[in-house]
Amino acid sequence: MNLMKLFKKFNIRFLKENIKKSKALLAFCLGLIPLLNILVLVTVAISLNGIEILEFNSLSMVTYLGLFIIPIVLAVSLFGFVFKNKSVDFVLSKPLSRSTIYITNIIGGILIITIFMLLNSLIYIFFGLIFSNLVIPFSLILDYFILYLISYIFIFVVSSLAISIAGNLMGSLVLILIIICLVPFFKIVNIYFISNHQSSAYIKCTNDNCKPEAYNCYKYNTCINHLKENEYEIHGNIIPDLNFTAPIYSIDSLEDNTFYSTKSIIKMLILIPIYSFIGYYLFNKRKMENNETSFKNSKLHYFIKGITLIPVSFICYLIIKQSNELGFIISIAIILIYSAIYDLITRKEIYKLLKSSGISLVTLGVILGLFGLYDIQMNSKSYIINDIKEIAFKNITIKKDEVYKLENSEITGEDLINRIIKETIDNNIKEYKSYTYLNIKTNNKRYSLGLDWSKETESILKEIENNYIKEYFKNYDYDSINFTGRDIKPTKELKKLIKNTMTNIDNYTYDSNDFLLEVKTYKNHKYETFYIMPNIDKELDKYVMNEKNKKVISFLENNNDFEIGSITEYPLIDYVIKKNKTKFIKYLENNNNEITKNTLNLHMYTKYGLQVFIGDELSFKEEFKKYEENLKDDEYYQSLKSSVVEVPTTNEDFEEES
Amino acid sequence: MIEIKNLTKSFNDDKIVLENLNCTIKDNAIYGLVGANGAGKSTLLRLITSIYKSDSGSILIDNKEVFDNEDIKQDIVFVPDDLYFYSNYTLIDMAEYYKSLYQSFDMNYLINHANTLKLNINAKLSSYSKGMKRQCALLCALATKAKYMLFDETFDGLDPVIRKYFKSLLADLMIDNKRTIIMTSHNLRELEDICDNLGLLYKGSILFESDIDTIKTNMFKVQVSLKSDFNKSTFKGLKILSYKKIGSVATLIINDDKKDSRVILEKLKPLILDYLPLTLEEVFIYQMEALGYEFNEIV
Repeated sequence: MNLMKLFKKFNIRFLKENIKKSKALLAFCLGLIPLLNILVLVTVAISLNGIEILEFNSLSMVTYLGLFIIPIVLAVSLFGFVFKNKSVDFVLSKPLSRSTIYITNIIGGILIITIFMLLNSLIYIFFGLIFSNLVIPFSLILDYFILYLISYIFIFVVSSLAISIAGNLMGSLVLILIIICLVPFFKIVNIYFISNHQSSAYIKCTNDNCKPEAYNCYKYNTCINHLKENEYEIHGNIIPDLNFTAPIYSIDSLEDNTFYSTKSIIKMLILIPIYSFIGYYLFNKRKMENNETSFKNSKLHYFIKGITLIPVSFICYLIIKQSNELGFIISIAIILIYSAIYDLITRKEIYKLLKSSGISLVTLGVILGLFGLYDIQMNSKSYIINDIKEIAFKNITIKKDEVYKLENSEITGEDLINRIIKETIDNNIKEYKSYTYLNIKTNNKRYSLGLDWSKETESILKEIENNYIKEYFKNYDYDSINFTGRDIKPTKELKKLIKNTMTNIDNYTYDSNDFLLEVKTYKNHKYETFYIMPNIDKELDKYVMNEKNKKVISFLENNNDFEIGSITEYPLIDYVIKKNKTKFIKYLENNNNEITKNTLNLHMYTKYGLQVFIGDELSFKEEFKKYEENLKDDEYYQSLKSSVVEVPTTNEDFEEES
Repeated sequence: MIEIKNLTKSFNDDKIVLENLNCTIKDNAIYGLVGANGAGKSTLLRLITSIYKSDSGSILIDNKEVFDNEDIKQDIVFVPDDLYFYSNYTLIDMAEYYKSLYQSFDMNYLINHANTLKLNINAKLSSYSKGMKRQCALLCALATKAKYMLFDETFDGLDPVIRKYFKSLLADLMIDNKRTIIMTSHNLRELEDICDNLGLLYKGSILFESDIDTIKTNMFKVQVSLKSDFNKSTFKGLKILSYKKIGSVATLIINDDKKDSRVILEKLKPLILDYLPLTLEEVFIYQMEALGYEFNEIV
């Protein structure tokens, strides 16, 4: 049957009635997430302390939690009639074929999810437009829409497939868990075994550029054998592929503070039609008399139960490894209790107690044996790393604490990769000091590689800086900048100034006391962040100062509840400025455009913490003298003048002192 | 016409419910299906409506395979024994549901008869009694005007007045709209006054089937007494299904033409010759006895 014929089976009238019958439940579930999203956004919006940028995960946390409920409820609402004899009679006696019912429900479910996701996305767009201080980049909303649309559809399709097989709701939930969690479970078990055994890793190098200058096997046979094949032992291990489907997603992606994973999306896009087709086939073949009891067929019952025993058996394996004989007894007890509970949940009776317990114990034995064999095999496992395509510095901040820092840099240049390999192999025979770990990507696998921090390493990083970082900033899309700090809006002018600055940053010396501008751009499904000091460039600095001072002026005009000062003259400056607030505002408005070497940075200790930039310290001192003239007869001023105390340097310090 | 050929259906691969069942149900008739609990009546109806899939054999309606055939299913409506309604639905909601799926659904027919039966179409069905729910289900089914109407334990829960009302509706539909109606019941008397044909389902197959008119015109209970002594062989030439003699009076169950049998019997110059009508239950009892079954075991 071709695709068009399948789509012709879609029956809108049946869908309408099918939705109508569960409208209250669906409205509740589908309305709950948008309502909670609105609630969260309102809470965030009313507590804004300045410009806030929303992270992918905080934006989508409610939607993520809904992933465990909404698609399953939707599938049960549409397909749940198969759980009861009465409803099976009612629905299937109507002029509808099974394929019509299945296709209508699947397409209908997808349409409902699409509308649901559009609604959520529109809420984010709406809030982003209304609250100018709440930055929600459109590309982030698009990512949210794509990821969750596909994820919700995926869970919905999995649930529909499970319902097509199982006889009741509990059986369906067990199957959904198996389909979703079994593969990630095995991968995570694999990580356990990998992390428990320090497997040997060898890097293959046939190119002269990566061959080490000094490498010695110290008559170690395995090492010598590998050396004959140009394989050098390194300090590293394999990184398992952890890009799972919804709702587990990618553990790797969480490091980037996002659930978004292109690999997960691709996997789901491939699995959705496959699962839909399997569901279609099984629904058409389903024996509609098999309902109300899960897996009436005893062989199928034992098979499904056996699969669910795998994770329980893994726990037993860990217990046995820890406590030997006692662990065995505990494990047997766990398995027997689990077996009885499983039967009670899925069949509402303990099904053939003796046979069932026997099968569960045999299953435990087999699974324990398999885990044991794998454990032994992992002991003698060695990895050969071949044909490295890419090296990623996951946890290194290039030029740490300097003009800019950049995270998650990826290096693909062949020469550079060879140099890093050479450095790694050379260092491997040296005394281990502090490692930095690099992620290596070959054609189809990833490894973690320990790189010793040496002069050569630094030289490599310098080279990366020269070749890669400059290129990075040259090609940076400055127009897409989303965030430039909590109190400075990323205007076109500012973006242009940042662009000019970043393309010419050679002659700059870092001063740790200076103010750093945090620049964030939502790019490649995550925020790319770099920090710059505005005083690299006069124009940029002037712009930033003016913007910050505008905030200060606006604050001063409306508030008296603040403290102001510099490092050494806090109470005096505070008192004098407060007494001359109007004049000070005027001064900031008119005389703050000149940027000299003597730029003064005053701190305002308000609820939010503002900074006042005084362009020319000398001119301000002149101005300040005028303020002091007005206070000659002020007793409190005189007493302050005689006892100047040191002021706190940060808001936190100030609060502590207060 | 519904043709069922070698139909077999088992549950869980071992419990055979229907085995090699063969049956033909003619159009424009009311077919009654009787049988004991577990005989397979409901299963047969579910197979005809393609709720269940048969293990083997075929069910043809108007020469087309019925399973999952939407066009054929448009001509079939089924009211099961155990009724189901969506929660919070009213009769009008249910009618709308049927209307959305059956092209020939007659909403006016439903509303008119609901008014006659004093059913509030806007009241929630969950608040209705068992009998009222059955009335609603029957009305929805009848309003579809489907060519084939299947009813499982049709009049279960209905009082005699309402039963009569629905029987007349069924008869009208059959006569005026040329519909074919299949109904099951434990109770032969229930079906006697409305069915044209009867089939007896026993252990998964049709044990006996016939049309009621033929049965009633060809089967008689005759009480006869002769001057001289007599026994069963005296009545040679008659198809006797049952023979019982108490004193000088014999009771014969004859499966023959009434005129022909009377000619034969009158030739014997009987002292008593009475033709008595048979109830449908008696017809079945004697037919089964003739086939070697004990009727009590079957129904």
